[in-house]
Amino acid sequence: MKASIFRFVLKRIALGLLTLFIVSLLIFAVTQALPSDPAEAMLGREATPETLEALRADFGLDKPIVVQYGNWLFGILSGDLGTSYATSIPVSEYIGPRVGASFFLLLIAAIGSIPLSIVVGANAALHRDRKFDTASSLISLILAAMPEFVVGTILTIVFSTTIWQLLPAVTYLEVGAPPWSDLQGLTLPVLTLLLAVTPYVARVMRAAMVEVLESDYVEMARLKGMDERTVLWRHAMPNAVGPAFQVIALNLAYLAGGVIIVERLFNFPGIGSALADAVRSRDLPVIQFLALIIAGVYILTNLLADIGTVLVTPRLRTRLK
Amino acid sequence: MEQQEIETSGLSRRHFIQGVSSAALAAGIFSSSSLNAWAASVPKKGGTLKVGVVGGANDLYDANYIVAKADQARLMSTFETLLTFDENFVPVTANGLAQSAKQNSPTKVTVKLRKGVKFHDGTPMTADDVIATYKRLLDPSKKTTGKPLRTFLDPSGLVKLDPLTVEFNLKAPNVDFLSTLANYTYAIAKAGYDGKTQIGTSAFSLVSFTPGRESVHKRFKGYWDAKNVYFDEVRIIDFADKTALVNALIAKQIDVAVDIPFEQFKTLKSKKYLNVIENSAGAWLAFCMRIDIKPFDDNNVRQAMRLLVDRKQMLKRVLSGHGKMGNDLYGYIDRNYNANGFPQRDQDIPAALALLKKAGYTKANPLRVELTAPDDTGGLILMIQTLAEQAKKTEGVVIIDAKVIDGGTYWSAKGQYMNTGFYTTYWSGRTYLAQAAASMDIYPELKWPPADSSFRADYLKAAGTANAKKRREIVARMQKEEFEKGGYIIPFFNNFADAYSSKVKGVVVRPSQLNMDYYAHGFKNIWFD
Repeated sequence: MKASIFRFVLKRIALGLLTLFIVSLLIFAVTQALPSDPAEAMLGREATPETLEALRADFGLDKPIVVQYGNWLFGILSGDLGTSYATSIPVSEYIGPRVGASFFLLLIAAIGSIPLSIVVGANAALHRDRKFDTASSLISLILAAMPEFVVGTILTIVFSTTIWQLLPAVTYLEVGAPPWSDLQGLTLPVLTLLLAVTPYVARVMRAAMVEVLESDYVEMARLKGMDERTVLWRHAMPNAVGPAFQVIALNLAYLAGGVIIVERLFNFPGIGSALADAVRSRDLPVIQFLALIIAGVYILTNLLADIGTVLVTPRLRTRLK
Repeated sequence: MEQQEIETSGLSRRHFIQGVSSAALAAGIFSSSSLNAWAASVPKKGGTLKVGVVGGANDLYDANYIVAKADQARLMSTFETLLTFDENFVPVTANGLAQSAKQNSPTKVTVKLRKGVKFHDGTPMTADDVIATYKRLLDPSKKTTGKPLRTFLDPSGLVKLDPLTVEFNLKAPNVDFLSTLANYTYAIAKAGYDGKTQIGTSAFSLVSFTPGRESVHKRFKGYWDAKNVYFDEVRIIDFADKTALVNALIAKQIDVAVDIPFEQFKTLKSKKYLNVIENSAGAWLAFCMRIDIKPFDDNNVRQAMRLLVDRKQMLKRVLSGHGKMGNDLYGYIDRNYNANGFPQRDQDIPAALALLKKAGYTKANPLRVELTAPDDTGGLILMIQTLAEQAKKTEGVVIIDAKVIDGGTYWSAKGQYMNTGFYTTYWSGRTYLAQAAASMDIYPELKWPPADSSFRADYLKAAGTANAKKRREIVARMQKEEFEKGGYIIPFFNNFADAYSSKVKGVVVRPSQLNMDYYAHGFKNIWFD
């Protein structure tokens, strides 16, 4: 069985790499279609023919498009991400710390939201139509209906600017300091992400759990006289968690993009603001790299979810043999 | 011939310290010295000033090239100019590197430099550095804001008389050249400056700079005006978003929020631990109608469009009232602003319709036109939307199609800016003639003047006329032509506002082109209580 899972994973990784390649081609094509090139976008109305020409030569924009793309691809494959047009800093040096910071934010949000949503969802299903279920359903419905910038703004108003001034309104990381150096400043962004992800997963978890609890095999287990705890954890949970994994993965993948808004709200030095700036200034090396990272997160989380689903679902596990 | 001459005089006359009521000042209750004593907490040394400003990866750091407010703040904290402007926009030597500056004739200016000025690396600043800076500004292959300078100065006109004296020999007369020396992007960098290593003469030297994040500056021990420098360190922190900037100030995470949105003005003002200051310096936003592109090549159409605008409503909606009504004339800070005393132009739909009819536009044959704004300049989007709405009062004779364009596209060489008939622009405050030159030749937004006009000849005459009265007459003639036939619609002059912690003392409030009174000239002259 191990070998077959390995093969499955390898196949998915290969497909993922192909997807990344296509993404990079697409992004490159789209940036070529934009009506102004990076030199024009950067110089704006101060441009002179001389400075435009000099900058284009600097960026290698005077070369044919195929050569430009080839150079970039070759660079990436040999570990050179290129230099950011706008900042004149190597992309790895400019974006590296930001990727780390965003990833850390995402990780904390994931670590917090996964168990929380599973516990809330499962409990709601167990106590179906009782107070806890009604309350959690209502709250999660409200939260799910609110975009994360609304949630974040409300949290800021409540906890740091208008009602109480308990927590920092923005994350302030000194340059070079790791993201965990401002834990207080991380509280609100993490909480926002947590509130953005948890409701969906909790609702899916509840639905799946309800279905499982009504199934024949759970009834069978109960009839066999097993105690409720064993029924729940050994028989019901593994089957209910499968669908939840898929939703968690989708949500985390969504967060990789959605984190942009949360980062902006809390001035968090992650990939979000960098991507927005890069698009504005047509900073192609940065756009390409960030697009690859975000696409990579999508592919990776979906892959992990599939593996997780396979491992916890006996039916699928056996089919791989 | 009148001569303009400036000597070091320390502070200028109306040097307001915030907190003194303007009524008291108007009544002349305080003499300048008692005023300082009254308002001032005793200046104290020490502390780190955290300045928040909207910025991003596109941050620029250059003595002679800026785009955004973050770039201004960094330029001002590292570099200094020969002269600066006082509150009447008269060039003075206060906070500048010149000991004295003298316009000998419309084509000759002599500048004597301060003794003992040092760069952050310890080397003395001399005439060579000044000449190198101006040569860099004049070099079209360098990315600088020197374009306007090139119309009346050649590198060969820069002459070193002695190590601390520079002579500017102009190729075209310009009686207002001293104002040019006070342009904040004409800051003096060390000879050999490449725009990469930031070594200036200011109160704070650069420690580190990370685009989109922050820059750290520490007090420079060799500063020529060290007695007026109080902070140990200044940090200029980037914010991607104005909301986050304001929140950080409210939550006391930063000490200064540069350029706050007017919607937040009242909220911030109501907080006891914050101060809010507002500044008007003749900056303006405008609609541009190119006089050589249909339908705006017909002056009836241009005048009709000007009469379409409800300026009061536009001022209220776009700036929440934080500005002054405009009259399609620029140069608000100039003594000769509206020299003819034209009455305020306001919405007059019947008159506009009559003009449009003359141009052949009626309900049956409506004037349909696209109007664009970039998405990166505050206010312009609201302006085009408001005008499109106001045009509906013509009941279908004028239909404006307002379109928002991504900034990178809009401002580019082939973008909507300067290449279409009807679009929007922004300018900071300038004197009348400087603006006329910029709008004619550097950014020919309107393709003004018309072929049969005496405007250009008048401009050259005015620039070479030192006699103030005669110059005013010429300027009045130029403004009349623009008022009657021009292509700008200038609905208002916009203010700008800053907010800061009330523990920051010494902040000067007076008309200035940059936020926080030129960023407190590089964050000197202010301190923590």
